[in-house]
Amino acid sequence: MSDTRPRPELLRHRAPGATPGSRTGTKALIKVGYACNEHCSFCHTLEVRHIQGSTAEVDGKIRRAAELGHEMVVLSGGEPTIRPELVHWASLTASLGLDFGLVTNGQMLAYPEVVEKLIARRLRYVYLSLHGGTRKIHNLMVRSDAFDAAYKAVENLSGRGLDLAVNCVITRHNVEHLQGLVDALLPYADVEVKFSMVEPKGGGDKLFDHLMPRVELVAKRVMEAISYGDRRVAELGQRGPTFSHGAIPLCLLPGYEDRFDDLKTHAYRTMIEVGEPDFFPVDDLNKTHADRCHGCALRGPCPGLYNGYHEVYGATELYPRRDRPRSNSYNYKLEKLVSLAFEGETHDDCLLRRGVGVTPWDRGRDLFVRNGKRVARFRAQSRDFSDREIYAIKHDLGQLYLDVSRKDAPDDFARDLVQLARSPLCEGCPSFAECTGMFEPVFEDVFTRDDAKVREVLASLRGEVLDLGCGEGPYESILAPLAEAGTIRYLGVDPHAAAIAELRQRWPWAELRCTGGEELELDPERRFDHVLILRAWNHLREPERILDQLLPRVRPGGTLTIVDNVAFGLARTRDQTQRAERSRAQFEHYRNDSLADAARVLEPFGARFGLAEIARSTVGPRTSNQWLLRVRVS
Amino acid sequence: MSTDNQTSFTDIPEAVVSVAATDRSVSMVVDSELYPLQAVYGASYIFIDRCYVFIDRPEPGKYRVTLTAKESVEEAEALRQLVGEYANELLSCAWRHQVTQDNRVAIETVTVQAIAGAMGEPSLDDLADFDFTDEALDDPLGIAQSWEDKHGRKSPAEKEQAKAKVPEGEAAEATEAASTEEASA
Ligand SMILES: C[S@@+](CC[C@H](N)C(=O)[O-])C[C@H]1O[C@@H](n2cnc3c(N)ncnc32)[C@H](O)[C@@H]1O
Ligand code: SF4
Ligand code: SF4
Repeated sequence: MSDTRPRPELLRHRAPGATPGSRTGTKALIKVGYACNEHCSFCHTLEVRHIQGSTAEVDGKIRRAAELGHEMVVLSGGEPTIRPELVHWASLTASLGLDFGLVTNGQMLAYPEVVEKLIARRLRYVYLSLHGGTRKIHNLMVRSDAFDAAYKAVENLSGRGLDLAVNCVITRHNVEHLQGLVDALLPYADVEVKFSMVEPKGGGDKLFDHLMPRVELVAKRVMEAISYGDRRVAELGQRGPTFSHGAIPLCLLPGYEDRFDDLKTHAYRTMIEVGEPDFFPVDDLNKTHADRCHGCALRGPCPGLYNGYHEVYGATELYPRRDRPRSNSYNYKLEKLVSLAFEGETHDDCLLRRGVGVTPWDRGRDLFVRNGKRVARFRAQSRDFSDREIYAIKHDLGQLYLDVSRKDAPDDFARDLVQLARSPLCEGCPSFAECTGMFEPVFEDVFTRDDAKVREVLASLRGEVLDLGCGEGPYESILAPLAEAGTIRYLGVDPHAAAIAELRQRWPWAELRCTGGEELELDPERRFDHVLILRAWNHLREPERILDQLLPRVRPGGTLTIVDNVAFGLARTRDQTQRAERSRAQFEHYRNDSLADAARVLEPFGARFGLAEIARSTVGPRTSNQWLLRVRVS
Repeated sequence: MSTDNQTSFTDIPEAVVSVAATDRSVSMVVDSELYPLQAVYGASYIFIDRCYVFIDRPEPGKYRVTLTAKESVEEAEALRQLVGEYANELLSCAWRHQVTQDNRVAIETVTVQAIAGAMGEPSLDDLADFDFTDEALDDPLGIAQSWEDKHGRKSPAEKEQAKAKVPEGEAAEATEAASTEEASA
């Protein structure tokens, strides 16, 4: 379990929802205005239908998207295809060297000439709305006579080498008719059929009671539709269509978890609404993970619930998965050397405030690192962690490191990793709070420094010691002399047979057991003066149960010491990232608890065992990722 | 040009019909059906730093490319390498030529826009006045009309939405009452 240095389990990096190699071209989403030729009951832009962006505004945004280094401009709305500037915008986009895409109800694409014109101007991606496989269902949802045109558009677009997705928004009106849509789309093997939970926003909010289905039902019907679709595709011996889902909690989709599809799997990086001065990153802030989701292994890629849904129905439908281990680190991959001659000293000189932009960068996933005159930009694509988790790791916990090793997975943190911290450049910057920030290397070995506190605790031990998760015995230099002098009597427990076998050779003075904490059987009379759980806490599936067994065995005046690591981000070159992605390490942690999380688990035991905190060190910017919590039992 | 050397070119690249070499130069004959003149020019251009390049047409349907080393070439191996490299270049130029043909419309649009761009960014006023008639789309079915225009209402949404009621037209029968059973057809 525990060993000298915490090991990053690098990384099942491929976003499970995305096919590797596809959809890598980064997209900017531009809303051109909110007018529309349909009137969907659920439309999230229902209240702003009167607002249209001007030609000049959209032109300027297309140019800005190119400047930001995007590879595709996608227009949405409202309905972008009803704008007379449509072809002009496609031309402009192509002239800037970018591909062109549309989020559309598809009606205008029923005209073959329109499709031809657009394809000639680098139309490469269409995300088309179709909410039912029949006139009746689709027209009911969009409150227009639109089915024939939208369906014709699918025919016009299919087989043209486009990235073509058909989005079906699910409300109470079509939730029982998803298979009809599958049937209608079976002839189009290159289509991705996506089933999306309706968002309670705009019409979806106004007509909540009328439209909103229970998400558990939606998940059930979506699984049925996908399994039906998969079966039909197999029967027909076709390569598609493929099926995916969006905005449905993954715990409700057992067996289909990896079919999730969202703005990130489509490689959207930024978006801009009418009237906004610059692009913003796409984020998941309209959705929420409930308290119950803590420790759920699916949390990284899971969309959670829409805030509005959660407010009304709560989280009772969710089934967090706590039985699967998850990653404890993620990679930031080098994307671009932004400058080789940066000489700025204060925030006024900062590149982000001078052209690169403050708002377009994701505060968690984009990372600017300055080293002297060089500034590089890194990007974290990992879906092992949610946006909120990544944000907290970067800003609240400050756990970012530059990997200076040549290993697939750094294993000697003190040597392999250099900590990154917010640059002095950011001090006093008016954009500080909304900015992803500039980071700089901190040339101090924070790991060795912070581990000194653990060593101090160990050196003070007297009497009977239980070390749960003793691993390879990293603290031999302190424990051996104490044990040999009879100052402590040591029991080490770890489920890893090899580690225990090896310790048996090395540590004749120790009593060792090869078992997991959950299975540890002790003489009923056995008591301890000190219990240690050193970097093994997050390996415990059910820490509550273990505390419940062990705390009664701690003598009055004895202590419990818990030490563990929070998750961290690793900035790496492209080569390093690629190597890491190829080597699939096993995940070992069930959670990435912080001190606060562990304290919450201890809480209920406080009164019963008279627990009093006697030491703590928390994780923050400029500390290592290791925390320590020590309580006395009275 | 002696054809004796031919034997050292047994693995002639596919791009090349035949190869002949002297001690300083090598010439290749390529099929003009397979490789358009533009591709031959394109590939040759890449070599003008390293060799003198001469292109002629020994017979209809064939181009002959002669590469003459600027400094004396030590071994036949170096010449062999030139042929190989040239053939690869030729293939890649031909491919690019083909892609260009396929995307001509797009590229023309792009070029026009790029030239416009070179004259400086248009001002906001220019853009607002931009005439889109060239790029306008025919819409005989009136699809591009906003829902409000088509249904002759200014802002129908508000009232209806509040009451969760359906407007008029095709969809009218549907909406509010449309229970899922009803819609199952
Ligand atoms: C607002 S529309 C704009 C583009 C285009 N008019 C269309 O409908 O495809 C963007 C996407 O959001 C979907 N959408 C609209 N309202 C929604 C809601 N309340 N919940 C989930 N998706 C919604 C649409 O189906 C469409 O795929
Ligand atoms: S969802 Fe799209 S098609 Fe439907 S009303 Fe909104 S903008 Fe129009
Ligand atoms: S418990 Fe929460 S995080 Fe886990 S899958 Fe469900 S909704 Fe997602």
